[in-house]
Amino acid sequence: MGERQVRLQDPRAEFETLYREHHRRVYAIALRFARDADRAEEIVQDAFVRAWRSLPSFNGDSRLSTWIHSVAVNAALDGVRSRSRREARIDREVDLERYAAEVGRAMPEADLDLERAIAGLPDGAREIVILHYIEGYPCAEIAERLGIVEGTVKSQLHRARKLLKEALA
Amino acid sequence: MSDIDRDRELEARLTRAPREADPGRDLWPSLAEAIGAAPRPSAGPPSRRLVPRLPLQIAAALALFAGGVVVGQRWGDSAPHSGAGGPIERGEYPLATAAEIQRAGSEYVSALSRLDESAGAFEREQGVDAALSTLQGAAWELARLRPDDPQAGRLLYTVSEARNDGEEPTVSF
Repeated sequence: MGERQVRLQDPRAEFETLYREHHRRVYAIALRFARDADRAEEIVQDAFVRAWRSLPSFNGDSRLSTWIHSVAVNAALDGVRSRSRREARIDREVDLERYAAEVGRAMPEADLDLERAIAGLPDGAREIVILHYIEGYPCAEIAERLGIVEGTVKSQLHRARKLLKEALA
Repeated sequence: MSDIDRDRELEARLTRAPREADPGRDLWPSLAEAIGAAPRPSAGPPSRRLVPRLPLQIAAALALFAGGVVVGQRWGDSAPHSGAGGPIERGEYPLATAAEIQRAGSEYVSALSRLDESAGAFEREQGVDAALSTLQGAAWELARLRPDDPQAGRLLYTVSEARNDGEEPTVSF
């Protein structure tokens, strides 16, 4: 994906181009975190609204795609956590088959058994697996983002691998 | 298969997982609506490292100056005007002056941007000199319009210093 500079002479047109270039990546993150298409769309919108608001503070130290990705991950984490708090009160379960159907539509090349297994992980482990194995974040950065120690990230990964292997056996 | 092999196979499957997904519908219209309601990106408060004050001041000053020239020329024309493309009558639209100034300033910035992308060294130097000369005029106009504003005075001083540091201008207004 080519990098581009954002010029603010026509911010909305430039931002639409930015959105078109990156929204599929952001939607993938959002869908895996939320496990629900409607909620994923909300996270995408939230991520890009955050990006729009903070675009002037983008300092060019990182690649634009890296920055957008980081904003999206934060929006996804915040979205999942706020939803988890609400759902904890009403004991609502995620519909994994409906989720798998959406993954199959949105990512035709996806390994659906694996996606179902990831989606079935406990929240903390699922977030860490997505960030580490799929999005490529190192353990130290995940620890910093989640506000936990690196050892906890590694132990969650160990636990997640065990659960995934059991689910896929 | 050993546990290590199963770990490796799992990690391989995880790293092959797609990193892009199609939302299935165009989310841009609702996003455009949302950002229309959101505060628009602006340059302030600027990051000093990445948004130097001088270029911002210069752009603002030039926008005022160039816009003032455009509006002044149009208002100074005594012939009657009509039609959508005609000049704006004083009082017809209270924000007309600001809109004209903003448009003229944007054209100036666009011209400088194109110069930076495609120009050779000589052409670029001429362009920069023309830009500084215009800015100096703009700074004078700002200082005239706001004689008690220390920012306007500092801007005129800064632009004049910047221009005097260079060679004799090859293009002047």
